[in-house]
Amino acid sequence: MDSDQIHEFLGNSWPIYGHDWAVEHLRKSIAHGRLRHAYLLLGAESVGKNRLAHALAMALNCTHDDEAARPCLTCRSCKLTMSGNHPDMLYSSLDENTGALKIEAIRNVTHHLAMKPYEARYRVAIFQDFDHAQPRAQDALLKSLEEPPPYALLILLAHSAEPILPTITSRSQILHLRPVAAETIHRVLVEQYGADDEHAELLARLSGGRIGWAIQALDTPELLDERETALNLLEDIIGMNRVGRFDVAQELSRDKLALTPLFELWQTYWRDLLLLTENSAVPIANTDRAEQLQSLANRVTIDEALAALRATSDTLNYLKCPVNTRLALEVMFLDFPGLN
Amino acid sequence: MRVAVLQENLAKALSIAGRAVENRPIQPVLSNILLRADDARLQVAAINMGLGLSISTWIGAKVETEGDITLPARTLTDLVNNLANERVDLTLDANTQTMNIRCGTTVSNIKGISAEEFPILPEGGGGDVAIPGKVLRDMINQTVFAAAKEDNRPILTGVYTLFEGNTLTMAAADGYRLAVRTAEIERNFAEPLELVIPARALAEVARIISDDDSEVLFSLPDDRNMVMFNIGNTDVSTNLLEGKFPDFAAIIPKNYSTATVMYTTDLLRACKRAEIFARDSSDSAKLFVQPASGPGEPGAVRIVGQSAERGDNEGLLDASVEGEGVDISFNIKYLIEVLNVIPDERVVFESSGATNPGVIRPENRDDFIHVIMPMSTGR
Repeated sequence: MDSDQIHEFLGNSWPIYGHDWAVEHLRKSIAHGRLRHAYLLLGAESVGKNRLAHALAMALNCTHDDEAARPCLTCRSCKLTMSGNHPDMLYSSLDENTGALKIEAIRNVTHHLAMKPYEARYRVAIFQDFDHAQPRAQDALLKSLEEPPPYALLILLAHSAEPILPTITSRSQILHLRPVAAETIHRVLVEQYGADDEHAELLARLSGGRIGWAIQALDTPELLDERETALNLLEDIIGMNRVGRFDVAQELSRDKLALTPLFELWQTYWRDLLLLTENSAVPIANTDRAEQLQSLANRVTIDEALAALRATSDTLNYLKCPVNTRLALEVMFLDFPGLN
Repeated sequence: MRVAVLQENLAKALSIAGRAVENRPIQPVLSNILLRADDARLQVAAINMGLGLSISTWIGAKVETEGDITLPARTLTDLVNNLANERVDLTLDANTQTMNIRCGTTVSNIKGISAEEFPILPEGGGGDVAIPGKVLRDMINQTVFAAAKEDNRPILTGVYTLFEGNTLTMAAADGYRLAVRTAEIERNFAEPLELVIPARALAEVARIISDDDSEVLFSLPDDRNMVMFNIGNTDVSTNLLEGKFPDFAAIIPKNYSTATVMYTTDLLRACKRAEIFARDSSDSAKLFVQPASGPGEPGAVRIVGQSAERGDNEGLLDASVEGEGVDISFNIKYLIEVLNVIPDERVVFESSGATNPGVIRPENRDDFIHVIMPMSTGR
């Protein structure tokens, strides 16, 4: 996909779909020299936070002569930014074992941030999953946020602002990325990625507004299989007794990092169940599971569906803290319907 | 890209440039080493963004087709070190960015990343100041060890470098000790020029300087605030540290109450023996300086290292002591480090009491001085 195509599609060259107001806001800020030194991008997994952060970095460091045409997506700076090898792009990495954003990882980035850009106008630091940082780790960023060097731009990405200290949120401009409309995702998949209409329709609906997931699922059909497996597992668990559920808990607790996307998917399932038990007019997201959901909805009460949804979302929050993963999962499974 | 080089040369180039490769760099391409073939030579280069250090070295090569690529430093170095000392043929498949490496009957393929992804290396500077290699190497070795290792105070991880008139001064300090070395240079600086160069980068420069009498060309800061050392076929460039280096002249004691002259190697050995036992008491060892008991008698220095659990060591050295006796504790590792870089036969230890900084310097030389803070004895 080249920049002309994108330009025609969006009216600007930012490769971002479904977040027009955010792009427009950032474009104007750059054009009028009102860019803030720190942004906090909030939004669900795969909704486009990382892509927007990269587009902003590219727009700032692009070497295209015409400022309106930035990012050009073809110059050295844009290309290196996309490949992750731009020497002035800094990334924090999560701890491999705990999935936490550690104080050392943040210090490593701020150390680099203190140095002048190597070849670009700006040094851009992107902190993914900043809500995975403990307050003490977040503190490590305060100095850079308070007295940033003039060439520094910090972009924090997070699912929600709740776990983030007010000292951080008050020093950054918050942009909240909403789930992208299914029609937009559908259109992007068909017009920009050449998907066939029916497949695009399915992905758009299943994505729950997470456009990144939909685009990725187009390239990697395994994602759909993964989703299939994850939902099968959930339906299996509902049919299990306590012993069976605890076995699953032990199995799942081995890979803590894989749990967040899994539970986010399960949340959509419980939401669908809740909608059906309440006979709501809102259409369900997991349409391919309509049959199973309906039969389950006939058997459980509204309270049970709500309890399962709450248990899942609470556990998602617990996982951000140093908890015993297996115990947390066991407790959650006890709140899933089907035990009595 | 299609080149032939000698294994020995390639291994040496990789060992030089490889020193700049970061352990876990933020950008994946920085775990790689750049290979660029042009004009009968092969460039081997690496960059450490965290330190702002890049090392680039050139070796002679038979270049059939020019080209460039970056290859994972670890894989490439491990492989080349284990090849026979013969001709190595490097052939790049530009489509897959895979380097075919052939040596004797061994064939390997290493997957790389396009050289386009590699940061732009600093251009060779003007070579503004010529410094004899051996002099620079001594100056660096006699100062870098005293620079701070932690970056609580980033400026102290650098070596203060001053060009003034015909004199070059280098100084490093970490809050407990200070090393200052001066030398004459040919170029005259009417306006003094102060720089703080990262100690890590200087250590690499000293390591690369060979034993022959060649000169190192030093390029003054460019618009990117980088300096470059050109050492034979190798360029080392580094970012300068920003900030004000503490005024160290004030720390150097102006006078002393005791001056003791000792044989360097004897003192060094005694210190190393005391260190074995001092390890358990935060490296603190004691020096008892004893003036001569009468005319014609020698003075002495007793060095004691103690460990409550493991035992102790005591050494007695002949010394010529001028002034009063003194009992003083030092971090013995610091003493060892400074004595290691003094090649002269005898050293002078000057002290003005157990709580004041002591001075170590080579006898009859005034171009090197080391100031060291005593440790509190806790009595």
